[in-house]
Amino acid sequence: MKKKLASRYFMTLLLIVLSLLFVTPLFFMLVTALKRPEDLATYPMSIMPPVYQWKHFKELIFSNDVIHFWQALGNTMTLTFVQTAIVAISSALAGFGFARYKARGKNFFFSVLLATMMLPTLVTMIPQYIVFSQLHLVGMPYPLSYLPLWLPSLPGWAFFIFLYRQFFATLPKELEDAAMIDGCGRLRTFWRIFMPMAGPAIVTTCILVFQWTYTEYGGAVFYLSNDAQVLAVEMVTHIRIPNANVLYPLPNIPYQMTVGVMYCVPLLLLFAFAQRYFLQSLVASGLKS
Amino acid sequence: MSAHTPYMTSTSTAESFKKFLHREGTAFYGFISLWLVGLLVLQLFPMISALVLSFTNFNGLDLPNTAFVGWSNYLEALQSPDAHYSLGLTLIYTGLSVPLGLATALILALLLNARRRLRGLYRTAFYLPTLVPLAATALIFKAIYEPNFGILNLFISIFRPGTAYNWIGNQGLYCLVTMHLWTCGTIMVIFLAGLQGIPEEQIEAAKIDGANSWQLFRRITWPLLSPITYFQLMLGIINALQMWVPANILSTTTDANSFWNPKHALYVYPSYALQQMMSSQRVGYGVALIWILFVLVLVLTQIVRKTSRFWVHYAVEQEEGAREK
Amino acid sequence: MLFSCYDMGGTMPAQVLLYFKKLNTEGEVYLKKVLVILFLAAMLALVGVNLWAADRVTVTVMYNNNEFSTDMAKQFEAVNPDIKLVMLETDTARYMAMCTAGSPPDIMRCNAAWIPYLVAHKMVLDITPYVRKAKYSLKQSDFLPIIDTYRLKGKLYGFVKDWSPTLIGYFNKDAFTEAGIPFPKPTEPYTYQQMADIARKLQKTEGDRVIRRGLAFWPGDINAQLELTLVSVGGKLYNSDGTKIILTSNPKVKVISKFFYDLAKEKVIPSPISPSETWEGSMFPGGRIGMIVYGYWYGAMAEGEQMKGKVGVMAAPTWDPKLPRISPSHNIVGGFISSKTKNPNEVYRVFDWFFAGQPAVDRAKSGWGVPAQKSLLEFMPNTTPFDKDRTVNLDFEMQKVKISNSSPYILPDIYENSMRKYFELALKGEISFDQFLVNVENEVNKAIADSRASMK
Repeated sequence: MKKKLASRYFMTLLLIVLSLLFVTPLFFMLVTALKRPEDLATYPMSIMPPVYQWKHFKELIFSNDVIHFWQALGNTMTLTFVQTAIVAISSALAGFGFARYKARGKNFFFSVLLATMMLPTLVTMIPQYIVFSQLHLVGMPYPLSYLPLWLPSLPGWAFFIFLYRQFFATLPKELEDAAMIDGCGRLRTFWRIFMPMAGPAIVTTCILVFQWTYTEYGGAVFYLSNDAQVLAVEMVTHIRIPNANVLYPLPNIPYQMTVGVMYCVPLLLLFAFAQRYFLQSLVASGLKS
Repeated sequence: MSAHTPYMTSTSTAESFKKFLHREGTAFYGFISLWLVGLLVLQLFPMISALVLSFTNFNGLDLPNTAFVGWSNYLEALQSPDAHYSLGLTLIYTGLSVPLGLATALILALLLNARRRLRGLYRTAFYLPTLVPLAATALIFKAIYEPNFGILNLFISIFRPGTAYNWIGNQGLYCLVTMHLWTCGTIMVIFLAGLQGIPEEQIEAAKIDGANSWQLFRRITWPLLSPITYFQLMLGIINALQMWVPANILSTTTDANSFWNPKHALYVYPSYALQQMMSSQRVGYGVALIWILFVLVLVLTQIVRKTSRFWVHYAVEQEEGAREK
Repeated sequence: MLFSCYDMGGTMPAQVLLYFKKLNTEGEVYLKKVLVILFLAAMLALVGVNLWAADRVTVTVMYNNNEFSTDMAKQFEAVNPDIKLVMLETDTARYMAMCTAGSPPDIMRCNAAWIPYLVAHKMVLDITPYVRKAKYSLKQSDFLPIIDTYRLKGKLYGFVKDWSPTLIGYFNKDAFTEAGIPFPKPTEPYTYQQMADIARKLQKTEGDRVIRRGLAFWPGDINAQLELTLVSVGGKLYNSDGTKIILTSNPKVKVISKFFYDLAKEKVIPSPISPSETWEGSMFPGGRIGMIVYGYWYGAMAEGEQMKGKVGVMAAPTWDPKLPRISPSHNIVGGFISSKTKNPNEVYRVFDWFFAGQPAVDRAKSGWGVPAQKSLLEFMPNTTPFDKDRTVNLDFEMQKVKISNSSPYILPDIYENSMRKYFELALKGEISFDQFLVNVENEVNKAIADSRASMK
């Protein structure tokens, strides 16, 4: 008994140490955001800011002097929400097809699906741009400016097609038969019977797609013009210092970290909100297989 | 249904069309049609153009003047000392980060699996790093590993004053691996979900039979988790072989060009390919390098797949739909 | 099992999902119809907007947002309603993709060193005829000689945004006093050797840690250090038609590279084996660098908030006082118009406004760079003693500015990457110093040869 207690204490201690280790860099990010650029280079360097620059946050949130924060955030949200909806539905369609119907060539296409997960995106980057450019889809006014990012998601993302397939495969065949007897066509069956049951898979997909699109950098830099740009890119390229004589042409790490902190906030809120639900849905979506 | 009676044959085309529509095979293709079209236009066509490009000396700007050079790009890639070196770095990185990452995620998940107070808090702490944007992550780690005033060196200076070891310049891979470990929260959560899906009865039964924690893990937990582990292993290998963004960001100085030109210790294979494409303007050569990488990815994943027979256990109650490779 | 996940215990997400589930079965069809109609209407509206905007000419500009911001673009559009500006952030990959797709940006940011290459590949519009007609950049007599860096065979291919003699330096007065070194005057240059000795005196270390770096050069890499110094002694990197880079057979190159190599090994200057922890530009105002040779433009921030009055200006160093004085420049940032542009007149109006209109005046006032026109020189800052030092020094330097030559066959990037790569290896001792020069020369010459072969 004592041994068990001791090992429990040990594990708790381990957990605490590890948690601190994991959180320290984030703390560091917050602290850096509150320094002036010179503070990062003085000797001796102190960990805590000598003068707390809360005004960084004020300037970022309440004015457009640092970056167009709310516009960029709005852009990011537009891109992310639509992308999430598209992927959640279209991946379900394909995943459903792979799960429920037999056909010649199904195994072949399934292997193709898996292979696409392994394709380095670098290979297709420039040719894809050419395709979109020739179709005049690049640089359209807001919100169509995100079309080059939305359209490739229309076929769904391989990872989630795979997820949905695993999920749908576990549902009993009787559901389908019952629906067919009731006179539903295949599409209707999918939309009215299976999708509502796919709650956990949908939630998992939505949360992961949201997270990945929210942090999308490469595609955004490639296809978006400056006024439709998302927060991830703005943070790296467009930091200005307010009240400077002219635009400060060089990177400014404290302001970057300030944007970084604010950038995490919506994601944090989402996850705080959906945490338990997310876990449950992961379990139920049968990721085991 | 046979068409014996004469008046049935007159409607057979319409009927057989309807039957065609209702056939299962058609339904399958119908459902995946969107994906197929996307595959052709947005994956296959660019892939083919990329393949064609790899046989040319395209320099990124001057399409009319591009000429075919046959296999010389590939030959050069196979012989170039830079390619060998960077491929070595990538392979070492993969060999280190993937197993360590999985192990860390698994250990953390096991620690969190037991019911305890503040479990949600710990879970958040471990998951939080995955929410940080990559640019911020890279800046943070640059500051940690920085020679003169990086946090790590400051800490070491408590024991050995005046330490200013150049971690990034000399041990770049180690820095990349720790960055990867820091963000293993997503995998941890997936393992956690898998752990919580293990039926309580099995664990209870084993405990009654007198199993200790290690036996519990080895006989029950690990086999039941192995499908997840397998999947994450594959994904991990695929991603690690293509890793380049953190390597480049860690190398960046304020010179705009430095992003595409990583330091020697961080010169991984995809970075090398991109450098050739973006900075040295040898797009044909760069694409050839990436194709070689693709082949490597396929080969490695196939090897892992072949070994999966020996250690991946699928529970009996899994449907046939789950296992169809 | 599935329904047990819907924790009725009252987490809001569960209730939200239940709501949507209900929505699925009741009124779903109606909702779907409404959504579809809304979506179509939105699309139509946007198409309409796009069509309306189509009678405006669209000019695509690829520039750094902090040099040509979206706010500035809006200012321009307000005064010129028939032009719509699409602003893109400078990005090599995107530029390449756009060129390959056949629609490169109309105006593109560049450095003077790229012009020979771009012109040889026929990517640049000759703007000499437009200059004669333009509203601002009209007076050719107003051009400073620096604009010639954008000229090739008498034709003007681009314009200068601002420029900077790159070897102008700044020094930390406190550090000098501490080491007992008298302050140099803004018009009295040191020699490189003198500077190196002073740097060694200014260097402060604590164990392995560098507390104060003696000297920092722009931008911190051997390639620019070599190039600039070579220019200041009248040397050249490439031969006259740009078909070869000349490194090992040029004794000046060896001497200069060795000079920087030794300094780097002593860690007196930052290098790959002893990097600066953050951008040197922000370290200097924190007192962490003794002398920083960064160029005229850096003066705008050299003082920072803590060092007002404590920074002095140093003239560009010379290698040998007996040689004629040359003040090299490396950052001649400007732009060019793509040769494939469809609306050259409208594009030129934008070009003109940005490079010679109000933005040029703003840039001159800010002190971040030297303008390219004589009439703008009077706007440059001249109030504080530090400003006055800068002005005196600048007058001294401007007479003798020169830039390095480049090759029409490759972009300077290939040389730069090669240098960085092998220099790091040489510093670490993995290859010898001589081997470093040999490797760079071979690599660059090979790239030139490949490029020439494909350009036939």
